Amino acid sequence: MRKRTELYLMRYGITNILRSLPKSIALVCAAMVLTLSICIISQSIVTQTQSLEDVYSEYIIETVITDQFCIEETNLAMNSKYYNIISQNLHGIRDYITDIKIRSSFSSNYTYMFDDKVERELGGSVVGLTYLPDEEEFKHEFNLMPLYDESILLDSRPSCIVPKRMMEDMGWEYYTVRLRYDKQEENEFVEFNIVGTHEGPDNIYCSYESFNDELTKGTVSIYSFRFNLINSKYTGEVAKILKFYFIEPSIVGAIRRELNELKILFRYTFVMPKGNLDDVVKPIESDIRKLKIAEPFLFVLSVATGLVVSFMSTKNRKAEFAVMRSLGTGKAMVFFEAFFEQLLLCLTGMLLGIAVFFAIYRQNAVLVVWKIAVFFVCYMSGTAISVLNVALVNVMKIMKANE
Amino acid sequence: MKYSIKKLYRAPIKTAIFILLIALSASALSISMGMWKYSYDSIKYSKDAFTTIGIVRELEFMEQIYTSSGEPKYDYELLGKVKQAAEDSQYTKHTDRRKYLMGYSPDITSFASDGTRERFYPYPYGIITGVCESIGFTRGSNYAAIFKIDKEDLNILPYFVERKDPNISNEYIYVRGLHLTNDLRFPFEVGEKYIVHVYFSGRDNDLKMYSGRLDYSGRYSEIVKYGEFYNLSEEEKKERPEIDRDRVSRAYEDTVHPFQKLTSSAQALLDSGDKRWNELVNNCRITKHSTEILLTDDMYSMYSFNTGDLYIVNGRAISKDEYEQGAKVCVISWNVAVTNDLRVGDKIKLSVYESDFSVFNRHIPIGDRGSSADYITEDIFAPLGYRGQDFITEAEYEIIGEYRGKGALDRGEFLISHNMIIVPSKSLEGDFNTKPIIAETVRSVDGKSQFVKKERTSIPGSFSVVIENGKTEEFEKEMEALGYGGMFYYFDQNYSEIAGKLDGYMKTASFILFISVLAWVCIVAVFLSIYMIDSRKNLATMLSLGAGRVRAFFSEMSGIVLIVIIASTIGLIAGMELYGDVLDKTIAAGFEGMSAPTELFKAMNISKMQSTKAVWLSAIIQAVVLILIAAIIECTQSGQDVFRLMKGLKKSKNAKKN
Repeated sequence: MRKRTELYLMRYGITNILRSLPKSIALVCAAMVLTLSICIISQSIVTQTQSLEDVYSEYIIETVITDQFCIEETNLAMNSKYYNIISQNLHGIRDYITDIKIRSSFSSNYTYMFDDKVERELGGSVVGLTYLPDEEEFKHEFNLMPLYDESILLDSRPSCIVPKRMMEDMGWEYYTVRLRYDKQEENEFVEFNIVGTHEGPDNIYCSYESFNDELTKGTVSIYSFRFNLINSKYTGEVAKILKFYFIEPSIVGAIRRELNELKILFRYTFVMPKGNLDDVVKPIESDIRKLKIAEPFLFVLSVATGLVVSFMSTKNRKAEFAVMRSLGTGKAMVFFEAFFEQLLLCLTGMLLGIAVFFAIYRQNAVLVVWKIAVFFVCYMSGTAISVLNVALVNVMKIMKANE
Repeated sequence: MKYSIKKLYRAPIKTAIFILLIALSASALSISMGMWKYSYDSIKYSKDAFTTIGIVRELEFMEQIYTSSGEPKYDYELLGKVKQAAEDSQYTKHTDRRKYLMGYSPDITSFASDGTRERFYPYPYGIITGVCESIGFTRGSNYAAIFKIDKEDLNILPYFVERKDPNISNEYIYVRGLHLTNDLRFPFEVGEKYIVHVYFSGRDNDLKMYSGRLDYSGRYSEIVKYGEFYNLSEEEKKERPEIDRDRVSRAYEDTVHPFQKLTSSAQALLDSGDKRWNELVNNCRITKHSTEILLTDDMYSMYSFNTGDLYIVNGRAISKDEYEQGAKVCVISWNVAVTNDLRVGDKIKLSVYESDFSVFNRHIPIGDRGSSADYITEDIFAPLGYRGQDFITEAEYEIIGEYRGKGALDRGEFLISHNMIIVPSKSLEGDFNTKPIIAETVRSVDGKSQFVKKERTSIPGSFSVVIENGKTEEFEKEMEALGYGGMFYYFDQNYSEIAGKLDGYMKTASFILFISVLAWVCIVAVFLSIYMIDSRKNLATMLSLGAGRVRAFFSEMSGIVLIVIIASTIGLIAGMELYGDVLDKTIAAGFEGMSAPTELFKAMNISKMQSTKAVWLSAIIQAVVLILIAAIIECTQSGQDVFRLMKGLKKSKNAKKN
C-alpha cells in the first residue's frame, strides 16, 4: 500500500513538473548552469595554467657566464672546478638546465697511441667539451657514430672525436685511442672511446669530464660556459643557484672580494637575458592567481544560489501542501513528493551541466566530484528545509494563513 | 505603492529570500565581470609587451670601405625612399629615426678595456708626458719608442690604463710611429722629454707594458697626407746603416708630428699659451670624459633590444609617456655604470655636443678564435669625439635603468657601443646628424690605387619601423607593391608563436563570463517565474476591485523595484568587497619582495581600478535590465483582461486539485 502511495506521489510529482513547465525548465537550467559554472571555473584554472606553460615553453632562455665586467663570454680562463657545478649537480641545477655547453681552452703537448702501441705526437690540440659543436664554431663538420648521441660528451665515460683523416690512416681499425698529456708528471695514457670524427685539423675533442679529471687533472681552464633553461619558468630557481658561484648581474660595480661555494674568488658574472618574458608572463600569472583566489568565493556563491533557488521554489507551494495534508496525505509523503520533484529537477540539471562540460572539454575535462556533490547536497538541503518548514506545521494554521 | 511595500514586510521571509537570491546572482555576475576585465587588461598588457620591427640593412645599400668589398645589393639612392615608404605604410605604428650626440661630464670616465679601434674609438686616445728611453725600427710600423711616463706631469690616460692591470706596468708605454723626420731620422731622441698625443692600442704582453700608436688625425687615410713612402738610394743606405730597410716613410714637415719635445713640463707648455697643444689636451680630456648619447623614440625598436641581445638588468626601460614628454631620463650601459659607480636613481649632468663621424671597417671572425678563422667585414661609424666644437646645451638626466648585453658590446650596424646612454628624442631639441659622413676608401681607378670618398647621409642602424603586431606579411606585401620587397628584415619577439596562446587564454576568460551571464539569466528566470505567479494573483484582485491598470502596474512594479534595488545594493557591496579582497591578495602576492614599483605593478593597479569599475557598472546594469524585464512582464500582464487573469489562476488551481 505504502509502495503504491509512493509511486502515485512520484507520478504526481512528474505531472506537477510538466504542468508548470516554464518554472521547471527555469529550475533545470539554473541547476545546469550553476553546475557548469562550478566545473568550468575549476577547469579554467587548469586550462589557464596550461596556457601559461605553453607561453613559458616558447621562450628559450640562455644563460651565459661572462667575465666580471661582462666584456667577454669566451676565453674566460675559468678554473676547471666550476665544472663541479654540473658534474656534482650542485643544488640540483641539472633539474633545470639543458644544452650544457662547456668548453676548455685549446691544450697542446699531447701524445696519442692506438692499439698498435705506436706513440705519436699530436700536431694539434685537445679540447674538452660537453656538446657537439656545430659547423660554425670550428668551421668544420662533426659527426657522431651511429651508436652515440650528443649526451655521450656530458658523460663521465672517456670519449672523444678525432680527425677523420686519423681514422682513415688507421684503416678504421681502431675505435679507442690513448692520450697522454705531456705536462703531467705521471706520464699515464688515458684510454678514450672514439665516438665520432670531424673534418678539421689534428685536434681531438674529448668529453669534458674525462678530459678534465683524468687527462689533465684539472690543469686546463674553461674557455666558455653556457646553457639553456629547460623551461623559462625556472629563471628564478636557476638564478638563485648561480648566485652561489657567480656575481649576479644586477649588482653595479660588483667586485666581490669573497669566496664562492667552490672556495674560489667571485670572478665571473652570469647573464640570463629574459627579453620580454616578465612583461608577457607576469600579467597572466597574476590573472591565474586571481582566479585561484576568487574560485572558492564563486563556488560558495554558486552553492548558496542553488540553495536559495531550491528553497524559494518549494516555499511557494504552501497552499498546495495544505490541500494535500487536508486530504489526508501524511507529513512524510508531502515531504517525499516535494523532495522527489526537486531531486528530479536538480539531477536533470546537474547531469545536463556535466554533459555540456564534457562536450566542451572532452578528454581534458577534470571533474571535481566533491564540489558537485556539495552543490547537490546544498541544493537538496534548501528543498528539505523549505518543505520541512511547511510539512511540520499544523494544517489549520496553513489554511488560516492562506485565508 | 504603500500597499506593495506593506505586502513586502507582511511576508518578510519570502522577501528576504528574493533579495538574497538577486543579491547572490548580482554579486557573482559582478565579480565575473570584474575578473573578465582584469583578464582582458592582463592579456592586452602581455600583447603590448611585444614590439614588431622592420629594419633595413643600410650596409646592403652602400659600397663598403674595405678594399675587397663587393658591390652593394641596392642603390644607395633608394635608401631614403624605402624609409619614407615604411613611414607611410598603413601598418606602421611609428618609425624611429635615431640620432647620435655626445655628452661631456668631468665626473664621468668613458669605458675602454683595450684599444681596439672599432669597439672603443675614440676613448683610447691619451696624452703622455715622459722621457724616451729607447727607439728603433720595427717590423710592423716604421719605428717604435719606449717612454717612461712622468707621473708627476700632465697625463691623460684611458680607463683601461688607469685601472691598473697587475700583469702590465703602466709606468712605460711602447709607442709605434710611421713617419720619420723629413731627413730620415727618428723623431724622438733618447733621453729627451716629450709630450705625445697617442692612441693606446692595447697591451704588449712580451714587454709587459701598454702600447700605443701615433695618430695624426683619427683617420687612417689621412696618415698619407702628412708623409710619403721614400725609397732609399744605395748611397743613403751606406750613409745610414742603422736604417735596415729599403723603404721608409717620412713626414713632409716635422711640425705635423703629434708630439713635442719639452724643455720643462707639459703644464708649462700649456701655460705658455701654445694653441695646438692646449687644443689637443682639451680635446683629449673632454673626449675621455664623454659618453655617447643615443636619442630614440622607442628602445625596443632597436634590433639589439628587440631580439634580447641587449636587455635591462637594473631599473626599467624608458616608458611611453617619457618618450612623449621628452623626460630627462636615461638608460646607461652596465659598463658606464660600473666604471663610474653610477646607480639607478643617480643624476648625470652633461654638456652636449655633436661629433663628426669616421668610418672604419670591422673584421668579424667566423669560427672559433682558437682555430684559424675567416672574416667578414662591416663598415662601422665611430664618433671622432671632441674637436673643439661648441656645446649645444646642458642637460641633466636621471638614470632609470642599466642595460647590458648577452655578449660583449661593440660597434656595428645593429650593435651598441659600451659608452652609450639612451635618452628620449624629445629630451633634446634640435636637428642633429644632418651633416653627411664621408667614408674614405681605396679603389683601383685605371689600374692605380686612389682614395675615393663616399658620402653617407645616415648612420647604419639608426632607422627602424615599428609595425602592428601580426602584420609583417601585410607590410611586406605593401613594400613589394612599391618595389621594395625583400629589403626589410622583421623581428617580432616571437609574437607570432605566442599570440595564439594568449588568444586562447582570453577565450577561456570570456567563456567564464559567458557562463556567469547565463547563470544570472537562469536565476532571474527562476525568480521572475515564481514572483510573477503571485503578482498575477494580485493584479487580478486589484483589477477586479476596480483599480486602474496603470495604478495596478505601478503598484506591482514598486515592489519589484524595491527588491531589485535593495538586492543589487547588497550584491554590489558584497561583490566589491570580495573582488577588492581578491585583487589585493593577487597584486600583493605577485609583487612580493619588489622594492620599487615597476611599470607592470603600475599597470596592474590601473587594471585593478578599471576592473573594479566594471564590477559596479555591471551591478547597475543588471539591476536596470532586471527592472526592465519585470516591467515588460508586468505591463503585459496588467494589459490582460481580468477574466483571463482570473481564468489563468483558476485553471492552475483546478490543475493542482486534479
